[in-house]
Amino acid sequence: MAACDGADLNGAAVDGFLSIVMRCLRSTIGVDAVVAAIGDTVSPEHTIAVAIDVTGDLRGPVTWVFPRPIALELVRRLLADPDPDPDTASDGATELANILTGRALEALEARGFECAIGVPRIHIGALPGGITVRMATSDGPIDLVLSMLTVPIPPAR
Amino acid sequence: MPSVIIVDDSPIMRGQLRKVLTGAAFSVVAEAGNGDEVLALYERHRPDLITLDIVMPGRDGASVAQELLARYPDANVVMCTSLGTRDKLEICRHAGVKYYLLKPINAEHAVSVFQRALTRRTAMLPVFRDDPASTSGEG
Repeated sequence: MAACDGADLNGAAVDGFLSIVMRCLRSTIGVDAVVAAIGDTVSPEHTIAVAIDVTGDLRGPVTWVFPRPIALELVRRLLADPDPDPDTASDGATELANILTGRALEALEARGFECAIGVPRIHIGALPGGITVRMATSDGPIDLVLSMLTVPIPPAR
Repeated sequence: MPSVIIVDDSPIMRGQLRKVLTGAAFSVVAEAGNGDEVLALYERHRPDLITLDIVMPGRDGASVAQELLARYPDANVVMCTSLGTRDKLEICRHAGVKYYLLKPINAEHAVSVFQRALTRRTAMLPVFRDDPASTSGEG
């Protein structure tokens, strides 16, 4: 693990993270997203929540809340299937979370946080606390909760 | 028709890879959703190519690649992964993996990588054919 100065997940790191996410949404599923709100309550209706654990200099989950049409768009594109089975939406959501989180970690690495991601899992129940970001898209909002905390550096002896 | 095993925990990714590979005239002989049974599957099918995801439940793709290439140095391994796994990618590089695909996978690029990996393998085959020891044994 790289030496980290103990800084929190700051605004610049979050901005970089979001910038990559929005670029990746466009290139992966052709969806234009813009940051609509920070700190808003997440709506759980007609959505699929996926959590991915981050380890390394930052620890904690990144939780995504996708509208079903967004998740199905990934399935549609990856499988070149114009009418994908609605039951595949959860698989699409977990893969999209995996792709977006993996790509966006670049922004954290650029700011000195070396991190790795775990296996995406469907999240059920209340969302964890953290930095909540709502991105508006034509298919409904995508919500993102960044709950990673800086790993404390042990004091020098 | 070259044979391939697909290993990825995402059914969507397996579906995409299956589609891309069969479209490129590969025969998918087995699929797995985790790394636990990969060595046994490889031993059973001895495919021309194997695609491995890195982050999977159970055994991860990096440790599978490491053991697979230690046992079968000529195995043609293509890692298919998202970023965020740099430490695992290092393990793969040290193990001798030469081919990588970044998710989301671009079908056209993927086919060129699979074919390059395959060419490397077939280019090595005449060496084995010329070796009398390799033609006198079983199978």
